[in-house]
Amino acid sequence: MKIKRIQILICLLIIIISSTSSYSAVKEPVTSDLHGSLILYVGGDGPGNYSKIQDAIDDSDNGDIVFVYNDSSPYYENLRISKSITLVGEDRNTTVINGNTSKNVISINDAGFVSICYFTIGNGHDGIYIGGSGSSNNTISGNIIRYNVENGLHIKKYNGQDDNNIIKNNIISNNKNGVYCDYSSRNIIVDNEISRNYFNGICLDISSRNNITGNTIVDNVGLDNLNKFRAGINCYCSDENTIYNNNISHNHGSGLFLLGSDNNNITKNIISFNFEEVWYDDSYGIYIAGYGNIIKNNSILNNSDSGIYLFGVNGNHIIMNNNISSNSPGIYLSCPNNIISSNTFFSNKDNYLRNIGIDIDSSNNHIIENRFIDNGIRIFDKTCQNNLSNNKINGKPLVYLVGQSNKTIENAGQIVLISCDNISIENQNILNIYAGITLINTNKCCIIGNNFSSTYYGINLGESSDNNTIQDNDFYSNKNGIFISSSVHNEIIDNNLSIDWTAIGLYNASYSILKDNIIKSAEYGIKIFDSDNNCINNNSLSNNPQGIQISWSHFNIILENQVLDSNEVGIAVYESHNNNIINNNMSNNKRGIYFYLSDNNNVVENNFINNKRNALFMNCTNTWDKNYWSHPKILPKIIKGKIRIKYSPWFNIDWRPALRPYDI
Amino acid sequence: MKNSLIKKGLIFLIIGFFICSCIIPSMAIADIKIRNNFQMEDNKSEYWALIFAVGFYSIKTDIGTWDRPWMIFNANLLKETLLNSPNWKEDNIHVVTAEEATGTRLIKELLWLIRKEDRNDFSFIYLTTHGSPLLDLNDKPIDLPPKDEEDGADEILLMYEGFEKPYAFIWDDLLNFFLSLLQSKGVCLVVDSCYSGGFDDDPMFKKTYLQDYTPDSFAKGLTEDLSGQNRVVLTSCREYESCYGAYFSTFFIDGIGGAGDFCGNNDGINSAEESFEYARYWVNLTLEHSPYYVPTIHDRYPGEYPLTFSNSIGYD
Repeated sequence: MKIKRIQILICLLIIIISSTSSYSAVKEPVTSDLHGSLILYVGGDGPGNYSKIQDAIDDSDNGDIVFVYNDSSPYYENLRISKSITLVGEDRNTTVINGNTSKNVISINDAGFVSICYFTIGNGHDGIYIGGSGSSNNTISGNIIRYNVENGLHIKKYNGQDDNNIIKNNIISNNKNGVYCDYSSRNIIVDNEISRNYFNGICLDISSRNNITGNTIVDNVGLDNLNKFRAGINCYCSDENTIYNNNISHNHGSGLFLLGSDNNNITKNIISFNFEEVWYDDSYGIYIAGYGNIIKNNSILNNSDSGIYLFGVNGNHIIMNNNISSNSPGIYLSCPNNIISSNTFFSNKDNYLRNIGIDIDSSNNHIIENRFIDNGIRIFDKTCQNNLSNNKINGKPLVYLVGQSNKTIENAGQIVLISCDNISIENQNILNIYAGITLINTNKCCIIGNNFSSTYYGINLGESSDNNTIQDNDFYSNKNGIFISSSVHNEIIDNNLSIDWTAIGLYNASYSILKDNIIKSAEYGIKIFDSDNNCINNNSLSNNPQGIQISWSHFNIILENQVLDSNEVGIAVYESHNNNIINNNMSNNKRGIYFYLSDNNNVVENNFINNKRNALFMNCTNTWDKNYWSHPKILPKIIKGKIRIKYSPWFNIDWRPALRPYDI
Repeated sequence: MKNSLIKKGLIFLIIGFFICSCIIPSMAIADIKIRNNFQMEDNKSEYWALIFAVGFYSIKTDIGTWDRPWMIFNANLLKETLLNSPNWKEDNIHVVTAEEATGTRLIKELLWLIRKEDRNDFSFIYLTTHGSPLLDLNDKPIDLPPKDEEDGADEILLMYEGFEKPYAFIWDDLLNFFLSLLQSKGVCLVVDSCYSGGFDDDPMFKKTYLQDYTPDSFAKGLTEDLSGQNRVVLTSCREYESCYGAYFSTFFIDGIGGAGDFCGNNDGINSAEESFEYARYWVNLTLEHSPYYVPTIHDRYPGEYPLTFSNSIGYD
């Protein structure tokens, strides 16, 4: 019965609107009877027309229509509606209801089946407020709702009942929040333009099973200084909502922010260019801290932080068939038990310019059949054990092995080995990813004859990856070449590295041999930090601002290396003791060798030739013996330095300088 | 070394000021006289705007230290908003941003404005960049001639090279000098700048003196120094810079775009005063009346200064 009545009312409305638009010059009388429903006119010059909208509303009954002419606009009123009527404006651009106070412009209290269309509604607390347990099945369509100090549209319920309000084809802008659903469910928010609201575009607060479809949610400004969680759509403890086919772009803050929100379905949206102005603020395409959300067929592009950020103790999210491009990074995965499948990742880079499609900091995820172009994966540590299969990186397989032995890997796009041994990796050509080869807790592997270019790390060994051999590899234009941490007894031999930052780095890595490598043009040729008992032998280092840097590292042997053309220092030793620096050739450097707070090192039989300054130290006492100091020297060589007490001059002495250069 | 650099910079500035005081006015005033004779017959007002947003600075360090892309975004949005109103023509609006936003260019643009406008017209100048009181290396305030500062320090706005070169700024007196050459029947100046008290804006100036120098005093000082007959001056100076550093401009532009009049007197004219009130309301709401962000107005324009028109009612 009720439905039939609605249908009749809708028909009447269509007839009336068409008739008024055809004969807008002829003003109707105060009321007319249309098959049982009254039409009450406001404004215009018809005999006895109402001058105030509220008077017409007060005189109306359920099912009546209040039609408002624009010639008396703006109407400075705060309307209260508590019956099922239709309120129609003549033209939404020119029929203006101006709240002009801190009250709501229109309040629908405990009333259902109210329709409001074709008005400009603004300058109130809420533009339209729908509240009370009986406020269901209302339709707000075709309005311009703007300049309200709280919400453009505020739907508030106390009992969590279904509301079924329809919000359609409105322009909602310049409010604090565009649409705010407060403990309100099953509303349909469709085809609206929601832009330039100052906090959020749409905010769902403990509101579930709403349908948000086909909206343009752009340019919301996110100026909420007290709450960092600003977004195009912001969901707090809101479950089972459908967010479908929206354009959520250029919002200041995140595109979608879901906190404590479960089982939402986010499909076919464009989520792009959501941003923060400075790097230390967060701005995600989609941020989720919840459970069981589905993210499918979305385009998630160019957001200034992660495309998707998953956080929590148990995700169970499904992320499928999305295009995830140019975010920072593509997905940050910090909760377990998710399915990430059949997505395309293109050119995502994190804030450190590392080409990372998925940054994995959790376990038990299924990462299957994804396609990565110019980015790859990053594994946080060995506890992050996941199922990765059939993924492709730059058209080649992503090889991800856990606990395997005695294999040979061929033609991979990226290689990640966790707790493996005796794996042979040869003749790979790897480019444009975070790390070409990652070994975690992996031993006795041979990495031989591979080419790496434009990676962040060519080879990255960590977490007790011991006794591996890295030999005859070429590195070109990588950020870092070979990086080894918390591992021992590795051999790095005969590699050729032309690198941007650090060619070979040892961090808490001991008993390794670095031999016969050629290193050019890196910020640091060889960088050793907190690493003891390594042997650095017969390497050629040229045109690196710092050839070899040793920090907090002891008992290393630096032997027979060529360290040339460093525009800062050939060998720099910081707070490191008992190292042996023997038989090296340090030529044409700005400084040959520099010690800082480092004692008991032996500098023996080295050539110091044509350095701007051969040796310098700060507060150190080391042994210098039989070094060649640019020209033959009979008398002891005084090496000038400073001690810490007011930086007073100090000196060490090479008592037996060499008469001729050594053949190194 | 730095001291001598500062001294050199100041000498440059004083010489520049002297040149500006003596030569440019005579050129500009002569030009104005000729134009006035020509244009007096035309009673129709024209609207002229100079939108000057630095936003990017010559020194690049870490991501997001001094650069504020939001300034440039707002500058372009402001132009777009003005052009939505029938009283504005594209040729009458100059937008200068980023590496073009040098001190020399600002003076050139001000001279362009002086040449173009006449006594029937309205001139609108919008400046957004980092700001600071003028201090020497020993934290002592500097008040360049004329000595008009109660607190002893001129207010300065940094140009594109402002973090690199000690003379790359414009100070309130010089700006005021150029404004005084404008013949327009209404001049509106908007300055949205951060005041550097809580933000390590400027490596050249130490900060201890700034503890006694609040954003409020900066805003009031700047506003009062730049006020003049038929002039409405709006400033908003913030102490703490962050990603959403352009609160005032964001709301002010929305005010010009229609919100000002809608929430004001609804006469179809979005005035500077209405837009300011709209912006002030939202700045206070979003920042909860933060003492660190102080929108300030000094209005000596009789009535409302018209910026845009919501419909054709107000503009014929």
